[in-house]
Amino acid sequence: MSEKQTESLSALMDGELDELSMRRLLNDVDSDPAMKAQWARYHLARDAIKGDSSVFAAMDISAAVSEALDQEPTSQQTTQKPWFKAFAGMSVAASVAFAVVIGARFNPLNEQPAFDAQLANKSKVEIVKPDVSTFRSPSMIAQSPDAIDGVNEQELQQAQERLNSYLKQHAQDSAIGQGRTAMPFARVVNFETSKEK
Amino acid sequence: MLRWTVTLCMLAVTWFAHADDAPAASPTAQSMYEDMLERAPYAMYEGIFIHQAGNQTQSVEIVHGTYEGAIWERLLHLDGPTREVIRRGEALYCIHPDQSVEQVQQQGSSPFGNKELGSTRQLSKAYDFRSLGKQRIAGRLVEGVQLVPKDASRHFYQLWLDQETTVPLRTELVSRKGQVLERYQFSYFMPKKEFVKARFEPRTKGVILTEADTAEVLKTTQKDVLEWRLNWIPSGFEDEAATGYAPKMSARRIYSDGIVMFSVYVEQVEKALDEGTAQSGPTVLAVQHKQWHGLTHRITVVGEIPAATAQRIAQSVELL
Repeated sequence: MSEKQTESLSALMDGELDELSMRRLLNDVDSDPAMKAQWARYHLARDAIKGDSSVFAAMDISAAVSEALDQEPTSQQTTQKPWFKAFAGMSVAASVAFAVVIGARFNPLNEQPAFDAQLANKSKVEIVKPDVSTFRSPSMIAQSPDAIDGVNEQELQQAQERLNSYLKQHAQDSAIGQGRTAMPFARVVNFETSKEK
Repeated sequence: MLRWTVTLCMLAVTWFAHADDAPAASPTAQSMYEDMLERAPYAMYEGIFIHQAGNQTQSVEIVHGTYEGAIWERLLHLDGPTREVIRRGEALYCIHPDQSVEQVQQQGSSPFGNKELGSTRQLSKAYDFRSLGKQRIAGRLVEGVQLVPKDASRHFYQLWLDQETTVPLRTELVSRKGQVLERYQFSYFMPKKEFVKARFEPRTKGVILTEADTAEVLKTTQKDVLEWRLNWIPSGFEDEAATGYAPKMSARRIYSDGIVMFSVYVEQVEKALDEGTAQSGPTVLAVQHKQWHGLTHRITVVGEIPAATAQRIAQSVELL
C-alpha cells in the first residue's frame, strides 16, 4: 500500500476526494486486502471517536462466507471421506443460518410464525441441554461433620431444596429492590431452570 | 493525516486510563452514576445481552420501557428451554418452560415499599467512585464507572454506561482478587422512542397474565416469628426492610449497601442438616446453627458478598 493510497483513503474518509479518484481508490480497496483492512480500521476508529452506533460494524458476513467456501475441500482435490465433506458443507450452512437468526430476532411479532417454521425445518439438529448444574444445586463446599451426622438422603435433598428456594427468593428481591440494571432479573431467569428437573 | 491522529488519540486514551490508576475518588464518575440512577430505569430500549455467572453464559432478549409511569420489562431466555420474566411495575411474573405462570411479586407486595434503593449517599459510605474512561460496547460509546470497596467485606462493582441513554451496557461484579463473578453485557442495544405494548406481551404461546391472589404471592411469609439482631454488619449495609413491609420481629431480613444485597434467615429447626458455605454463580450461602434456650436455630445468609463476610454475618446473629 503506497503512501499516496493511504492519503487518498484518509481523504475519502473526510469526504475530500473527487469522484474519479474515489472510483480508482475503491477499485484498489477491493483488490488489496491490506487496504481493505486499513479502511475498516479507519471506520472503526472514527465511529468510536464520534460515538456512532454501528451494531454490525465489525461484522463482514460476505468475507466470512467466502472464506469458509474457500477453505471447503472441492471434490477434485480431496481424498477425505464423504462424511467429512458433508460435515464441512453443513458448517457453512449453519453459520449462514446463524446470521439469519440474529436478524430475525427483532422482527415484529406477527412475523414470528414464519421464523418458528424455519426453526422447525431444522429439527434434525440435536438440541443440547445446557448445563444448569451450578444453579440447580449449590454444592456445599464445607460441611461440619457433626452437622451431617445421622442425616439421610431425603433430608439432604430437603436441605438442597431449601437452599435453592432461598437463592431464588434472594434473586427476586434483589431484582425488585435494585431494578436499575437487568442483572438481578437475569439471575431470576437462571433460577427458573431449577424448576424443570 | 488521519492515521496519526487516531494513533495519538489512542495514546491519549491509554495515558488517561493509566493516570486514573491512583484510587482517587472521581466526582465525575459519581455524577455519571447518579445520572444513571435517575434516567436509566425510564429509558426505552430493546436488546440482547449475555449473562455470565460462574461457569455459565446465557443470552437473554430484553424489552424495556415505561407505561403510565411504571417500569415494564420483558426478558426472554434465548438459550435452552424457553423461560420468560415479565415485569409490570411491581408485578413480576415468571413463565416456565412448561408454560405455567408464577406471579412472584405483585403491586404493593414489594418488601421495600416505595423505598428507592441505591442512592449515592448510601453508596459512598462503602465505595469510592472511579472513572474507567470511554469504551465502545455493542457498537455504542460508553463511559466506565468503577465502585471500589472501602473495606474487604464486599466485591468490586463496575458499570459501563451508554452515553446517550445512561443504560449500563456492561455490568461486572469482580472479586478483590480480580475474578469476574458475574457479568452482563449487551451484544445488541437499540434505544426506542415509543412504548409499543405488544412488545411486552409474553412470547410464550397461550400465556395470559392475570393478577394473582395476595395469599398466593406472599407464600414466602414465615409463620414463626423470632426476634434477633446482627451484632456485625459490614459498614454501609442497612436493614432495608425496617421501613418497609417486614416487621422488626421477623425470621428474615434484607440488607443492602445500595447496590449489593444479602438476606438473613433465622429459623428454629429439629436438627442440623447442613452447615458451611456454598457458592452459586456470584451468590454465596452460609449456613450456621446456634443453640438458644435449648433449641437449635439455623441461620442462613444469602448474598453477593465474599464467603468470609457471609460467615461473619451469620456468626454475629444474636437471638433475643
